Amino acid sequence: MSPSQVAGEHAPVNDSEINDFHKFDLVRDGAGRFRLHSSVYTDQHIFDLELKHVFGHSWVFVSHEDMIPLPGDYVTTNIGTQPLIVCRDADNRVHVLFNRCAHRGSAVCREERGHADKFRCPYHGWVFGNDGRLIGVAQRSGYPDDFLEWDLKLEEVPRAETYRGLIFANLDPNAPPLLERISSVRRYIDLWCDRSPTGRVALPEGVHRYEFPGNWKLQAENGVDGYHGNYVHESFVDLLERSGEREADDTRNTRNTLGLHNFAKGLPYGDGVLERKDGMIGTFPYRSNSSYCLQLETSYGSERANDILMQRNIFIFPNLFLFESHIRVIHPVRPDKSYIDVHPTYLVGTSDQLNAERLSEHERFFGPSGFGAPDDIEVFVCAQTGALATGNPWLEFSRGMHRESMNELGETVGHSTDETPQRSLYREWLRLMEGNGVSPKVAR
Amino acid sequence: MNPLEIPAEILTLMSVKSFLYKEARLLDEHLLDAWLALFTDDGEYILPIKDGPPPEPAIIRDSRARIEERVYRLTHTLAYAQLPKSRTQHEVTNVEVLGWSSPNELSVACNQTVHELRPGNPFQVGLANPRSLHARCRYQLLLNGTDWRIRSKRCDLLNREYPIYNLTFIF
Repeated sequence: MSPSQVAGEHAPVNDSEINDFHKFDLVRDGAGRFRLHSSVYTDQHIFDLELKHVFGHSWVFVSHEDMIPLPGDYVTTNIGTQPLIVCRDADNRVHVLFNRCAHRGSAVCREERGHADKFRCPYHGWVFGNDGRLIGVAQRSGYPDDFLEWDLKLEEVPRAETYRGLIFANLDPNAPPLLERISSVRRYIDLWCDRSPTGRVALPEGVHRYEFPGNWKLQAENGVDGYHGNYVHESFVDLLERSGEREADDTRNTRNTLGLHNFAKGLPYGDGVLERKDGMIGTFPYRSNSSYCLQLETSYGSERANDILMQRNIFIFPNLFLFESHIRVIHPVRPDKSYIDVHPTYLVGTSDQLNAERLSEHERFFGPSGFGAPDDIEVFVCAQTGALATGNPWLEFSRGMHRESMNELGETVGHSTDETPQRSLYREWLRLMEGNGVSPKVAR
Repeated sequence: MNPLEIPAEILTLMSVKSFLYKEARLLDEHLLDAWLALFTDDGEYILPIKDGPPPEPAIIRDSRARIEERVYRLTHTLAYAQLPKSRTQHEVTNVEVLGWSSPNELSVACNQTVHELRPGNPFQVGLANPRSLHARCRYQLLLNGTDWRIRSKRCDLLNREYPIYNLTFIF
């Protein structure tokens, strides 16, 4: 990774906007209730502030090392609406660059994925190396002798760090280190990676991608929502019964009974985990595959293997999920338009057959033609429609507030159907929206 | 012998076209059980993203059993993504017989455009909004008496690797 950029060149935080936000009264948190104003799904000004204060000061997932395995490999992606190139230079170092020519601002790379040792701007032919360096200017004599001192380049995103193959970047040069940010959710990232007996989860090239006419946070809330499954996914629960895999009543009860291993957790920094021993739908039945379980026990011991085999949806604020079968990334486009990238994974060190069966179960539920995920998208769109009605503009996120408790790890733990993770998400969202993500400008 | 002495390949093409039009009509009229019956017992229905076997994912990689499950979901369960149900109009063009891959199995290529709309209150997000999806299609058709059965239907969507909204009707 390259050194951070100097903070001084970035636009200063507009304090008046932060103060304005305080007055908006969008989150009502207290006295056993947690409510959110539905304009957070629809309002353009709030969306603009999210790009600035949430996406501008968070560690945002930008790619996986497996997508750029070799020197010269690159992908293009976004943080919020800002275009980026994530690439490896000749020395194998990962760079996260703004996809913007230093001359007149044109994007220099239009492909989504590829291999190149340089990027040539289509507008006036300036050429940059895949480490961002300016290496060629057309008709150089039009610039003075001290031109090189202007230090023009493909600007590097101020911070980029990797954990277990997941590449995160942060637009805030003074952000705390990634490891500090993920200190709580890290144990879940480790458990997720260790689904592979080698600890390596890999990505094929293909991606399931959705577009939907709704706000990005609808997906963020939903991925750790254990309450909706029996209703939104009634169709899939019925399919499991039809195929003889599981009776519908058994699926419903296993997921919802108090006293079984059914938790929804809110973590620091807005992260969340939905955790069940059994009964998550749309997942491969790992526990019934004895040779796979044995592999995990051999690699990690039986106690950890058992923990690894818990069914978990892991949310890493603001827009990343680690699901059992895939990595899911949410991209805000407009207040009422979002993209979701679902990267199916395969578990390195397990059999091709296991990975194929895992993928088949994934394809059954997920993707724009799956038997589960499109029903989620449908309710996001219903929520986007309803958000425009102002009779009672408040959304209730109060479920289980009276029965959640804090465990020894500092996690707030509710029943799996409780809205504990969503409260965690929106408390962090509010903290950032009020400008508290802006670190003091200290020299690093 | 046909009195007009129409060449056999033209008759084959006409027969294939008529079969594909029938398939399109069954889908557009939501006669999904009849559509399902067009497939052979080892039939498959595939919408790929990239070429390649697992672990490369597909949008749809249905075996015969999975096609049956897809039809069951659409006809017997509360599938919210199809409530209301999509109204579709399939257009089949550029039909070309590529050749016999065995004495009774024909390879066919065509282009298909599906115009789609979900009826409902037009003020509501996602409803009453016509759109079109396009694909290059390949069929493996098995000669079954005087008609065809589908052994394989593969549709390479124009936007297969890009974000797609609700593709839960049958393409």
